[in-house]
Amino acid sequence: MNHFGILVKYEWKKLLQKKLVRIAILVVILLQVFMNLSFLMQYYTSYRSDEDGNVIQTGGRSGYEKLMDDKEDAKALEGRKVDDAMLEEMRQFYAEYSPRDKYAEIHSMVRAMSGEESREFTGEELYGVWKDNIKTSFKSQLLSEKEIAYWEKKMENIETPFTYHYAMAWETILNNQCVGTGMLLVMLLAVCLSGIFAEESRLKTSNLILCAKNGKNPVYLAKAVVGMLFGFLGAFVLYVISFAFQFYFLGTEGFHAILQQDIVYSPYPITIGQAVLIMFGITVFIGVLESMFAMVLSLGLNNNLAAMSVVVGLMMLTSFIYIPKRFRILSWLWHFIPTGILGTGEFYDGRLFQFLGISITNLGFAPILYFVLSLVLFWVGRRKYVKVQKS
Amino acid sequence: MELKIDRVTKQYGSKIAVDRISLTLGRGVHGLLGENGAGKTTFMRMICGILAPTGGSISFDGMEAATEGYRSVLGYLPQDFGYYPDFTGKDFLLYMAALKGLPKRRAGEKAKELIEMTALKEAAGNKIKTYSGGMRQRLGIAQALLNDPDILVLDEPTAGLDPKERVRFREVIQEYGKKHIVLLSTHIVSDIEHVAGNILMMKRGQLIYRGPWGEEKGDLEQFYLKQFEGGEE
Ligand SMILES: Nc1ncnc2c1ncn2[C@@H]1O[C@H](COP(=O)(O)OP(=O)(O)OP(=O)(O)O)[C@@H](O)[C@H]1O
Ligand SMILES: [Mg+2]
Repeated sequence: MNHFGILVKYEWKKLLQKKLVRIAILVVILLQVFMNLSFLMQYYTSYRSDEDGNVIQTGGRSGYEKLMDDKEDAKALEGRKVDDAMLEEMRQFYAEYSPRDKYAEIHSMVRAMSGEESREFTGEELYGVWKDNIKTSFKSQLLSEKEIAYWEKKMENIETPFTYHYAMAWETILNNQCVGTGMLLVMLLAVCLSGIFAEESRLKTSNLILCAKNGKNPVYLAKAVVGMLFGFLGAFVLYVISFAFQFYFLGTEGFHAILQQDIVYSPYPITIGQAVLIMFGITVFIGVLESMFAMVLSLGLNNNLAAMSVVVGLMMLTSFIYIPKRFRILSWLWHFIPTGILGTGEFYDGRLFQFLGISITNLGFAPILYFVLSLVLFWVGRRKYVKVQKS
Repeated sequence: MELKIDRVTKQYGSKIAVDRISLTLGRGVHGLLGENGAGKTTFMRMICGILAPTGGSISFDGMEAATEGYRSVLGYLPQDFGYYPDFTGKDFLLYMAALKGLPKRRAGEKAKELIEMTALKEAAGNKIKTYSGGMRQRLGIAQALLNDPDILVLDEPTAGLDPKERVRFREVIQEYGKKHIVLLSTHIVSDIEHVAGNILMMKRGQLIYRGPWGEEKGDLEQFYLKQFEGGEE
């Protein structure tokens, strides 16, 4: 091992030896497991009214039983086209009472596509209304003609009528896990990495480091590498936990199902599996960016609590403060601050980054932006660190 | 082998902690004496390049302080010696060796040699947080010596050492000073009067005495105390 390898090894050691870091890792992993198992804690009762209008309880199921029933019902619909025949079949089913909502998956999809609870559609009407609704959504986002044209072209690649594929594990991750995972990751990094420089100064080991031959650039680089690796691994491990639990309960099927069966207003012609992988990829970039951010703050503020508060505070702020879309650039930039971008709403946000005739979607732009910002932070931190001479 | 210090000054607001000190230090042990707050630590931190002087310059054989070349020939024991409480003594030395750029093999040998020299052999595998104050101080001395520095700066190295270790330390330093520049600060005159070939005395940021101390000049301790009579302003 060369010096750099040894420096990296010891930086890992310093990081993982801290009690705070160990506890934070444990807590975050437990929270992630809990998020994936929260369905077990639910209980469902179903009611109906009899002829006299009395409400009677018809049954009760645990969260687990309900999930397994839903899974069975959804699997029974595997490969079905959402067309006239299907819509008719569904109507007939709902005409009578049934304790099991066997068409739930498709029913909720149709409802979301049309935006209406109980109108009767033919297949053609349904897809017409769906397209109109997407156009309305473009208008409410104040998209330009060019942007709308871009998405309409993209949408030609979405095949109608939709074919339903069972994809509950992927859907659950996309709908319920991505944002939470991103937030857990940011908190983990804020807690663990905000001490990476401040701690040396608190322990007074910075005196030894800064006057040693490799104490400047190599130490900075070793710390940055460890921090970014920690961010990357954090994203990875949290996703592995989600995948493991969701695949265990719901099966791995459905990667190739179209995204629209879950997020109906999305103009992205991609599959659900691809959407999950995109979110995972962006989370990795967020991990790297936020670790650099926490470290630079640690260096600049020279205090781990202060650095931690800024990282977590900024994340909180973006979920409390919404900037209206009419402040176009501001609201667009604001929405990239982690971790809002991990919400499902991102899949129908049609705003584009246009530069030199190239159009990039938000989901394509996010990794580029995060990567560039990480580099900028790396560079800013390096300048500050190498120059540091205490006064 | 020459450490050139030219009109080095450090000012904190209106307080001048080190006031235009000019000195050239060659091989040998240089003992820096001075009362609390005289500016010894400030002066040494500037020599080690971790504190930027307000004015003046420091260089060693043409290399400016704080440059990589300069840092590679430097060994420093700070007054407040910082360590990683959960590292073992041995790990700490190996880490410091990597920081100082020692090849891996050499690092292992040197760490072992210094662990023996500072009588830490039994404790080398234990976490530093279990060490006594004196053991930590010895570890601090060991790390300063890892890279066989040409400039060895020790800020109150004998603090916390018992009489036996104090004597051993003196022997080591005397030997080391034959080939290198050693600058060591202390309040305890007896620590340096027989070891240091050159005495430097600081008072309120200024150098008030420099030069060898011979028997003919009388008792160093008496002289030292006389300088600081009247106490604080
Ligand atoms: N960061 C600082 N800000 C303001 N003043 C400082 C700072 N560091 C040191 N001083 C002042 O500079 C003067 C010299 O301090 P220094 O620590 O160099 O003294 P010293 O000779 O090492 O004392 P001691 O024997 O107690 O270690 C003191 O008056 C101290 O208060
Ligand atoms: Mg001091």
